[in-house]
Amino acid sequence: MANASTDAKRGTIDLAILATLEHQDRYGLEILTEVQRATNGSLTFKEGSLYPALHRLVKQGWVNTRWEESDSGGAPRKYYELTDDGRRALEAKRQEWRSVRDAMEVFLNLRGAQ
Amino acid sequence: MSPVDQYIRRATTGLPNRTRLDTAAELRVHLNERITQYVAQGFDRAEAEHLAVEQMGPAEPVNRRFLGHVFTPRVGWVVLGLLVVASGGWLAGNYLFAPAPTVKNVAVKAEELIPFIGDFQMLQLTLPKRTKALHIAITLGEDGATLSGTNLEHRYPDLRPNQRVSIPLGVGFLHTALASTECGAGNRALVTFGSDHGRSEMCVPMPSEVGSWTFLMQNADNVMVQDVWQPLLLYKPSVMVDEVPPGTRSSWSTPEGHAIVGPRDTWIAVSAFASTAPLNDGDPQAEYPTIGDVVRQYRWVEF
Repeated sequence: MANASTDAKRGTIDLAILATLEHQDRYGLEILTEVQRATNGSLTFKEGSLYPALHRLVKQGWVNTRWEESDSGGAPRKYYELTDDGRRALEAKRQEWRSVRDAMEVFLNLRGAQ
Repeated sequence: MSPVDQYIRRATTGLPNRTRLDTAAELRVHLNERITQYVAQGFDRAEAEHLAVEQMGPAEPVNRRFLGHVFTPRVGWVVLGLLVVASGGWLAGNYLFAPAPTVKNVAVKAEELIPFIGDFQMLQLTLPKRTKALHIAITLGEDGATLSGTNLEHRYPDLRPNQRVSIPLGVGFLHTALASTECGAGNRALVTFGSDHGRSEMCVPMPSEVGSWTFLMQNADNVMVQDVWQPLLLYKPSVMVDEVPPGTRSSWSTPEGHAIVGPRDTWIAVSAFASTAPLNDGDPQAEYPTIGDVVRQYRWVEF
């Protein structure tokens, strides 16, 4: 059974992946690199955990996949792209995240002022 | 097997074949790109492989998430092992170390005693495997005469192998004056009953010695595979109760036949109240085992 911490991590990873794919289709390692670059390395997770998360998003219908030749001449890569449902899920998660963030800011500011 | 191959195998094991191949290919591309990056940074191939795998984290949690549940192959093997052990224990308990078929007397609780019966006996039978039914018969002998008897057969259709069942088995004389009067002068009313089959009453001339023997036999293969002879109680007109002393068997003979007809795999407990009278040879098809060696010549005959 997943605990709260697991759910929180899962939600964070899902949101990060969806956001990374919002404007560009990417493959696994590229998603990781982009998350680390965009967060200045603040958001890190074991690389292996990325792929089960991607599988979960595919299963939910939020992400599609395709194999594509590598532009650097290496092995083909598996690219992920957001579906329409995925975009709606991203927006919902983004709103949810902002609500939590705003609520926590208010709460912490109040506590700090006491 | 390289660290990369090991990681991929452990992370993808248990997945459906097509998914496993697709996922393995994706993980391999990822790891190879990482290795290429580490090599470009100056690590040798082995070091680069190690670092790339290290960066992925433990394979087992990844595998569990791929599978979508915690039933990893390792857990599956453990569960399978437990099932095998449990099954083995059940088989051993029920077959290898199963209790031998026995018949023994057990103590009778006071509330089970029936007042008007001179004595009362409880048998505990440990039934062998393949037991499907049980018959109990009580036969009676009259001193110095051709035996007559009662046949209290009972069938227990729901018996389980190795089951221990307690069978109430009673014999005794009615003490009421009425019963003695109805039987006529010099006779006494003898009552027998087995289990819940009901009871049987008959008039027995006095003096009369009535004893009992119990045996258990199986007709699964049309042969008696085991016989358990156990003296029950010896009754005399004075209602003296005593164990049948050893060595007295030869003076007791089998009662006249009361055929017990049953299907194969039927075990039979017979309480034979035998007399000292010699018995008729009888129809082999209707012949009970006789006491002593003759019992081993008994052959079950299906009708």
